[in-house]
Amino acid sequence: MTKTITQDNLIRFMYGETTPEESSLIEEALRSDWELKELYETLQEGKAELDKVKLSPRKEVVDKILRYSKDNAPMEEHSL
Amino acid sequence: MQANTIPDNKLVQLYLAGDESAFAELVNRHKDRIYTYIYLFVRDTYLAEDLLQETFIKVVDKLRTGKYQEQNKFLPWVSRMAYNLCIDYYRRDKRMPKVTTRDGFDIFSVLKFSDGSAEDRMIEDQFATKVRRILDELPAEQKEVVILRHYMDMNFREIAEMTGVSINTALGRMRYALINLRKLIEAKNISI
Repeated sequence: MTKTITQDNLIRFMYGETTPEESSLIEEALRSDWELKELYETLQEGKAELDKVKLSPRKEVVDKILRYSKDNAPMEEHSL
Repeated sequence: MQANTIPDNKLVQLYLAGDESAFAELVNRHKDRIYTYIYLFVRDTYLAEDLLQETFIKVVDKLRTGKYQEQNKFLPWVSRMAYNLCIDYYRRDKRMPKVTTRDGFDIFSVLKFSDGSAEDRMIEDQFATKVRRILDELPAEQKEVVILRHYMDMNFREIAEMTGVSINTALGRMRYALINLRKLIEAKNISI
């Protein structure tokens, strides 16, 4: 496995926390290092399972939130 | 520009300028992720909905009073509010955990506390049950990083600070969690 690319860097890369330079190095390593690529695919599969974990609140809960917002709209002087 | 391509921060600006639909877009964009996070925390669908509502009420109040500071990170800002409300709930309910971290709280010991009577009130669909079953099999410290990174959208530096470990430790826990997750799903032949 490419010594300069640590397994933890792969995690940072997967979650978009690497710099552009680090990302380029990792992408290059993934093209040439099958062992690293295999690990990356396993990690991606795990992440993909987490992506499927999505629950939704009931519509009436969302409606209540939006109603509260409408009734308490921000004042215009508080702009960013 | 379509609403779903507008960055969060721009939507906040539009909302503050009086565009109510911008807030609706923010809510619709993030409600499932925040709700899932709260649910994984409290394990009770009704309580999770209450806390979600309370979270967004706080968001409105803070925006209304000009307290939005983290202009480029709306989701972590909201997630942190949700996290604090979850902690407040358990403190009010005198269900303080026994294991504490740097900020004095271990969210995963709370998860175990809520499994009893709260579960009786809980209406879970099959999907949520599978989610819980899989995540429950991860060691607590791995589960913690998964929830904070994947659902709260905190970066690893923030997670390290919050949980009182080094960044490398947080990264290592995430790596093992993802590998274990794959193994668990394969071993149990579960598809979520």
